Amino acid sequence: MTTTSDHTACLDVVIEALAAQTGLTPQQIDPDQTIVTIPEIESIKVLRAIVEIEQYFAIAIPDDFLFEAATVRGLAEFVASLAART
Amino acid sequence: MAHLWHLIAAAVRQDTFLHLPMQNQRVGLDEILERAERTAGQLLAARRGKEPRRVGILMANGEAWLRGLLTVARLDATVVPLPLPVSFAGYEEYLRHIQRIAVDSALDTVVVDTTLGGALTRRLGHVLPGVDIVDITEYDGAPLRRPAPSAGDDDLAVIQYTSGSTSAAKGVMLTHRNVSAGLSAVTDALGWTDGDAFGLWIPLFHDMGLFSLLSGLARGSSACLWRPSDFVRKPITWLRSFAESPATVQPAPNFCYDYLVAAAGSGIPSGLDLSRWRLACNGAEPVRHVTLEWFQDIFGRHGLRDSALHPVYGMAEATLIVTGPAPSGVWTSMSVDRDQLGLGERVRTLPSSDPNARNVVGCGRAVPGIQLRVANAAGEPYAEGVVGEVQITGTAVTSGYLGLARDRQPFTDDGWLRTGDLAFLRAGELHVVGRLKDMIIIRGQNYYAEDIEEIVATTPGGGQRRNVAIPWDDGDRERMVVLLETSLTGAAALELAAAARDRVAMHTGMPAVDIVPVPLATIPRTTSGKVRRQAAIRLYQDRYQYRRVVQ
Repeated sequence: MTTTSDHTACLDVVIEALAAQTGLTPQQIDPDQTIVTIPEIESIKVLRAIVEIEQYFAIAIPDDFLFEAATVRGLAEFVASLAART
Repeated sequence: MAHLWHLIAAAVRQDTFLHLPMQNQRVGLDEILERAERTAGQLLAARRGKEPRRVGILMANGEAWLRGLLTVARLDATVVPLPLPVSFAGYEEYLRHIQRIAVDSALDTVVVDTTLGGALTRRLGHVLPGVDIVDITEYDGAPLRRPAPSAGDDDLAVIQYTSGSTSAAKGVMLTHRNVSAGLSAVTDALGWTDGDAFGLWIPLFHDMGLFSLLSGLARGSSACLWRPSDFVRKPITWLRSFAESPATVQPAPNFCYDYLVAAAGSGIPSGLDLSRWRLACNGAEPVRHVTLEWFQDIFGRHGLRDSALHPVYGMAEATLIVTGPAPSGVWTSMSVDRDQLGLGERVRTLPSSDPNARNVVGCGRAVPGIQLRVANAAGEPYAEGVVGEVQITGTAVTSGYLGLARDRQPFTDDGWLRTGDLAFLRAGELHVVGRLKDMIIIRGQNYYAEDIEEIVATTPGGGQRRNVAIPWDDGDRERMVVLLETSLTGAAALELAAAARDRVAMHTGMPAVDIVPVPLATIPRTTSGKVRRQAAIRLYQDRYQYRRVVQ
């Protein structure tokens, strides 16, 4: 069971990780934008961010989730659901 | 006989293994060949006895990929390697790309395994009606009972699609004869010995991954296989795994070496020993001088030999390798005037400290079996030190792109392949400086200007969206610059540019795009309305290069 505050915390971590990889500030990343449209993002930077997120929550994000056209918030929600299971 | 199946089967030794270091596994090649017989039986059963003709392979790097390829060869069908989707770009555009390849190559079967995931496999079935999607993860069926494969040397072994195209899929036709010649050219050029083994994480659907792997196996050598995500997620962990594996030769694009240099900044494990690493081949995208210098500087301290860094030049159209330095040599570069690198211009050497100097890395000489010239469009060779187009011929070179009209095939009148790359020779060594074709290469993937233009042109919101895409290389990295005509100004124009940029990202997953909004009727055109690309490049240089752009 995940709560709203879990989701918010996850979203912050996800945004931080994406910002760190792209050199943007967290404010420049819109939670509702599709990840692939973040300026200067590319698959390699996304994967680096994923590794950071995985380490932070001690989870493993399956490769086939990466094929989805996820938004930043969508990724955070998926992370929250994985984190709740561990 | 040049048949791919026989080439591999005849070379296999008892100690030829496919190593999968991340899974702590190794499988004998003789075992994989035997499994392929079963998979061939399974594939025929799944197709209710109909012989496959063109078979796509769509899965992550692993034993099943190689087994799938051998299965297709066993059945005398043609392999069509299919790319995996780009992270977070979504299914829609990706599936459309696969659909175009399927139509162009007349695919009748796609083999997949569980690495693809159920969701994508189901969607694939929907967009490819009439194509059998066969999961080959298991190999417990009855083996095929039929004589050895017998396709002729001029039958197609592989159709290799060059990546990135949205408009027209271009499949490089490679016969068994081409592939056989190409595979031996790779190992011959690298001074292959029985103790060598390829180690690679680059995807097998990419020509560099596929033909490197096969060339080692065709010599009876073992190979080590990782997945791109193993490398990208934890580059230094991968490097240690590589160093501890039997691998001695790695093929990879330039960015791989840049990436390892960057990753080294957060620490290198003590005891890392790279002294067994014989060759670090660098190709598939422009080789950068600074990358080689940094890599040597950092990893030389961990035993990497000076002779390991190995800039190579190749392409799918040549079944991979075209030029490479002597295997024991040390790479060289020369510093030239960056403003004198146009077609037919004589290069001018400059001290590397000169602000106009560009350091160009030498990629060695033509490999055995390939003839090379630097020439004009008519095929007349230029003198040494003059920039021209690289043109090649040889047994490993393709006869052309599948289904393309003869007059659109990239050959000179005397039948040499026009590569579209610009280079000059110096002491017989090829120095690649740019491209005639309107394309950029990012992470080893090709992106064509006409594809980007089409994506931008269909940005929603009304208007004609006339635009021109300009491949741009400032010497450090490549980008696609797009001049987009609009009646909008100020913030509204920037908003449109941002929408167009997002659209390119969603379609290609490629971020290296600058969209520059320009007033209507700015883009130079001929009287028939065709974009004058060279004039557009000058316009960008003179007027827009330093303005605010949406990135």
